[in-house]
Parts: sequence; C-alpha cells; structure tokens
Amino acid sequence: MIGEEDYDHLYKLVLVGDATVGKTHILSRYIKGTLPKAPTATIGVEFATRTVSLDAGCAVKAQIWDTAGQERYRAITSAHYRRAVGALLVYDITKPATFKSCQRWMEELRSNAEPDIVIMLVGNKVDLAEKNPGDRQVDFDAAADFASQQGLLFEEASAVTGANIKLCFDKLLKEIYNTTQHRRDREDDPTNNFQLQGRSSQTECAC
Amino acid sequence: MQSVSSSSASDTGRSAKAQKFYRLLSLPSVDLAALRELLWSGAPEEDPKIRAEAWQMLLGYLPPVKDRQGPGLQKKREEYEELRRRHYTPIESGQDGLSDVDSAAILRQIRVDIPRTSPGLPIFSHPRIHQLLERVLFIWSIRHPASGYVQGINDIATPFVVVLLASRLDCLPEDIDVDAATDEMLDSVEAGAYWCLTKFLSDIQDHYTAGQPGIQQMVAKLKEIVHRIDQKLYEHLESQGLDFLQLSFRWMNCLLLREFPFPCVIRLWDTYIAEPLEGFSSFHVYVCAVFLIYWSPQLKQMDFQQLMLFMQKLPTGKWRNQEIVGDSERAGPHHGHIATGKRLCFRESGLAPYISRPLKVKEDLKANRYFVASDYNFDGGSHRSPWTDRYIPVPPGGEAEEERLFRPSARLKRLEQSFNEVFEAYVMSYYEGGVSSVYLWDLDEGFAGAFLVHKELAKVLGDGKTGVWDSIHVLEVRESPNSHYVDFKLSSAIWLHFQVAAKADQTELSGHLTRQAEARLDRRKKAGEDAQIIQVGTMIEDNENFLRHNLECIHLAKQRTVLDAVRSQAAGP
Repeated sequence: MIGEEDYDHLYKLVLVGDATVGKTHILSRYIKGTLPKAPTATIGVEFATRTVSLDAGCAVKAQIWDTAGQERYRAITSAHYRRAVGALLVYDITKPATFKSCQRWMEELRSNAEPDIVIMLVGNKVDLAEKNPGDRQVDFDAAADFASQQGLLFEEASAVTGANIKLCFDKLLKEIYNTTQHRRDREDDPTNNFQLQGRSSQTECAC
Repeated sequence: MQSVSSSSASDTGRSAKAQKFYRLLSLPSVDLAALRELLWSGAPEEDPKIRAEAWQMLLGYLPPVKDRQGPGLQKKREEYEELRRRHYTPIESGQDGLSDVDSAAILRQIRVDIPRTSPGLPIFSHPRIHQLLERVLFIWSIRHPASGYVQGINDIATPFVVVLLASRLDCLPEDIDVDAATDEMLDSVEAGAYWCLTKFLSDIQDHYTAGQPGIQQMVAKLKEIVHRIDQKLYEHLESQGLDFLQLSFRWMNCLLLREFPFPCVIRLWDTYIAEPLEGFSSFHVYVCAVFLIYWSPQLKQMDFQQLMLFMQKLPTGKWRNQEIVGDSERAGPHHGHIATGKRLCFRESGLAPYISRPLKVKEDLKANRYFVASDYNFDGGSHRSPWTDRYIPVPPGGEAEEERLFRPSARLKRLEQSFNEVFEAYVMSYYEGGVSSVYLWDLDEGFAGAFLVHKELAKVLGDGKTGVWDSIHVLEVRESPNSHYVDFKLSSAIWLHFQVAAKADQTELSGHLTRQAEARLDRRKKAGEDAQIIQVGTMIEDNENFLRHNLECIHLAKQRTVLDAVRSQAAGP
C-alpha cells in the first residue's frame, strides 16, 4: 500500500440508501475494480479507503463507510455519520420507492453528519435500463431536478458495468475539497478537522 | 421420525462420546439436564442424527419422552402447516395476501437476501432450499411483528436447516445433496427449522426490535468486560477512536456466523443450545470478549484504519474446531473460546446461583473422597477437586495441559482449604451426610466463592423413590485497600427434585428457593481469615435455616393441601 499514506487531506465519506440499491457493489467497484465475490447483506457498517490525486494536484484519502440500508439498522448506522464531510446517496433507478426514500436519507445525513456535508445523489443500475428500457422507473430529469433543488450533485451509474462509478467519487471529492478549501481560506482555522496526519507540516498543498 | 437410538444404538465402533449420547437418547424418558451437559461439550460429528435430535429436544421441539415424540412432532407439523396455509399460501397462489405494505416489503427483502445467504455452502444455492428458507423467514417475520424481518436472521436460520437436513439424509453437512431429499423430508426439515429458529430467537428478540436495544446492551457489556480483563487493549482501542459498536455489532447481530467458518458455528451452537434457559445470550458476550482478546497482541500494534480493515475480515477462514473448543497442543492460556468464555462468565458474573441443573458428584481417587462437580470448578473439560487441587479426569493434553487450567491464587487456595474443612463439618452435622465442596476465585478487589452441597435422598425415601437436595451458596467478598470495611454478599439457593415411582405413572416434583443476604465487617475490629470464615458461616447457616423453614411451613404444607384435595376428589363423595 505504498502511496496510500501519502496524502494531503483525509475525508470521511458515507454510503447510504435503501437496502439492495447496490451500495456495497459501488464501493467494491471503486476500491477493487470488481464486484464482491460472495455478496451478502451488509450488517452494521463496513469500511474501505482509497487515496486519489485531484486535478488540483493534491492527494486526498477517502475513508468510506458503507452502511446497512435496512430500516431497522438506522439507529446503529446513523451513529457512524458523525464527522462525515461527504456522502453518496444511492437509489435504484428501477425501484421508485428507493428514490422516494432519498428525502429522508438526506435529512438524516444533514442532522447527523457535518452540517455542510456534500451529497452526491447516485442513480444506480443504469445497465438494467440500457438492456431493457422498460425497467427504468425513475426519470433522469426528475432525479436531476430533485438534486438541483436540494443542492446535491447528481449522476447515474452502474456498479455492474463500472460506468460513472469513479466519476461519482471524483466529483464528490473535488467538491468537498473546494468547499473545505473555500472555508479554510475564509476562516483560516488551524484546528480544522480535515487536515489530519499526512503532511502535517504543510497546511496548503501545491494546487 | 427415525430416532437416534433405533437406528444406531447397537452399532459398535462408535466413539465413546457417541456411545454416551446413544445411551442417553435411547432411554424412554431423556434426562434433559444430562443431555445439556453432554451437548455442552459438543455433539459427535460421526452421526448427524445425534446433533439434530439433541438440538430439537433442548429447543423444545422434540419431546423427551419417547412415547410422546410421534404425536408431539405430528402436532407441531400440523401447526406449522396451518401457519403456512394462513400466511404463505395466499402469496403462492397469487391471491393478494399482501394487502398491507409491511408484509410486501418484508417478502421483497427476504427474496433479495436469500440468494446471498451463506454463499460458502453449496446447498444454499439450491432453489428448493431457497423456497424453504423464504417460507420459514416470512412466516417467522409475520408472526413476530415487533421485529419483523431483519437482515441477519437469514444467516441465523441456516444452521438449523443444515443440521436437520444432514440428519434426514444421514450424511455430513458438506455432503448434502438436496436432490436426494424427498418432499416429505424437506417439509419436516422446514417445520423443524421454523420451530427451532423461533425458540432460539425468543431469547434475543430485542436484538431485532426498534433501536436494537438487546445488541446495544451486549456491546456495552462487551466493552465493560474488555475494560476489566484486558485494559491495555481497551485503552489502545479508545486511543484510536474505535467504537465497540463498530467492531462488534455484526458479532451480536449474526452471532458470529459471519466470523467463523460454518462447522465452527455449528460446534459453538451445540454449547449455546445446551446453555441453561435464557443463558446463551449472556454467554455469547463472553465468547465475543474472548474472541476479541484472542487478537489482542496484533490489535495493539494497529492504528484506526488497520484495526477497521482487520476486524471486518478476520483471518478465521482456516479455523477448525480446536480454535473454538481449545487445542491441547497449543501453549499459553488459551483453551478455546467456549471454555475460556465460560470460565470468564463465572468469574465475572458468578453471583447468580446456578440452579438450572442438579449438581453432580465425582470421585477423587487420590484423596479417596467425593467432591461436587459444577460449573464453578470446571475448566478444560474437567473438574477441579478441592481435596487435591487436581483436575479430574486429566485433560487430553496430559499433565502439562492440566497445569494451565484455572486455579485460585495461593492465598485464596489456603482459604479455600479452611473453608472446605469447616463447611464439611457443618454439612455433616446438618445434613447427616451428603457431599460438600467450596471453590474460590479471585476478584479485582476481594474474592468470590461457591459453597455446594449435594445430597441424594434415595436411601431415606426407599421404594424406588428418589430425591435430590442441592444447596448452592454464591459468595462475593469485596475488600478494598482504601476502605476499613469488608463487604459480604451471599446468594443462596436450594434445589429440590423428587421422583416418586408408582405403578402406573410417575410423579415428579421439583423446585427451588432463593435468598440473598449482605453483611459488613469492620477490619479495625475484626481482622483475618478466621473472622471471615465465621462471618460466612453465620450467613450460610441463617440463609439455610430460613429456606428450610419456608420449605417446610409454606411450600410443603401447601403441596400437601393440594394433594389431599386431589385425593379426596378422586375418592369421590
């Protein structure tokens, strides 16, 4: 894991959304480039990290918490949102109920995570709609409208084909970087949470 | 139902362990306490029927009385068929049985989870098993609306399906061929799995209700135990900001099914099912504590991220049963998760007198004396004799293994000896015989102990009547260096069991009574072991007198009134 520890910023992200919208698949695709070998329902939370360099020229480490989607686990999983600066809020484009739940997920994120958490709305399983257009139950435009009203980033993606997965994370991380950078410029707060470990001597990276 | 005893009792060449099970299970009325004790140390793998029968019996599905097994099972099967007709058939036949949204959501979730249940076992990819599991889980969820279906319950159902199916097909779990099973076999496995799951989950239903309070409590308890017994590890985890909920939530929610290889889970569940009623859920926390501390040396070297990654994918893939039950080859203090967990459980929470099964007596040949064998002197599969301080029988690992088993500190050992002498004299004069033993163990500040008496009343009663009297006193003594006082807490229980064999039928009577007492000694006035022995002696005597008096004047008197009323009615006017 050489290079893994060489980063400028550490961002905590959470993956949320209804059960079986494909959160764990998205994470596996992003971290390992493959789908899970033996898929099981996520119980509680699971954890993974990936370090990427942004266009701005600095390296950020994403610490990603994959959560169980089932209603019953909310009490346990919401405890893990604390200090999260970004979230992937996932729904399944073939299941309208999972899109409807997004409103509630969003509220839960905003009340348990950092108040200015950056949220990327992800419509997963586009591969199904590509194969059979009748499977699509959530309109791209409807979701895009919802996202812009709520101030969310938005992409459709497919963990199965890998389409747009990396893009979702890249855009999210970049936006978090911009937001925190902007805030740091404004506040210049030396106790900022988001610059942990790494090159601690260097508060600003060469961007 | 083909029972263990009829199929293979006469087989020779079976292991000694299997023979013990056969002997027990072939009796007309199986002694459940004895069965618990046997199963606690694991069912033999050679005959899958043994485990299935023991599990079903201890989970209340299979009646212990041979004559009642046929009708009993028949009744349960019919009840399940009825549940199936009521809750499941409407869905199957396409009628809308799912008018309410909740049931529809439950079924949808179950259908998504079943194909991804225990993917390590080939039988769980078979469509017939999928259908079976779907019905069991759906009906269970509808019948338990407070929790409904929660992910992870699908995992918990799998051991029952495997154990019952292996028994019906008479093969090892890994050799199960689902296509070889008849519809009748699968139906019986389904009903059995449903009832066993229902009973098993009844102890931990608050794991799956809103807010999951049962799990939160278990996690808190785990944290407390680890803090007490491995403070360095606890402090390390704290310093890294690792929450116990993060590391152990799944252990509680899926009862280690996701952590251990399947055969190890089955072995662990032998013990869980054999635990006395409502016992396994508290025991499970201790097993989890042992499991966590097992990794302590590695964990203490890791930072937050390494810890998280390590804990979610522990290297247990190659584990075999010795990791669970202890390995005599292994050096060091680890005797397997079960025995170590049990020992901890007793040393930590030994205050509730353990009265769910009669005490047993063993013979110490070196001292030529009997002693009481109980959970309080149990370790590594053997019992420690208070007379010679040796574990009997010598464990499979020999003397070296025996040396590593639990013993009290030297100071406590001396006190234990004195207590044994005094207590024996007391028992001789009060009980006119009977076997007594005292076992002590160290606490952080002070010590705890169990004072046990076992007396068989066969000779007194005569005529095929049997009776057992067990007295169990559990003592906790707190002596803090910062305090002048020594605090004593004593919980006493008397356990009585009579069996009166008449010609036509048997009458069984059993019951128990308990009483607590507390006292405080001022060390400035009375000090030393003698004062403590006198104090404890007085407390035990008071408690016993109180309990005996109650028994005689209230319980037996009432019993007599009831029996007399029955008799006079039977005699007629």
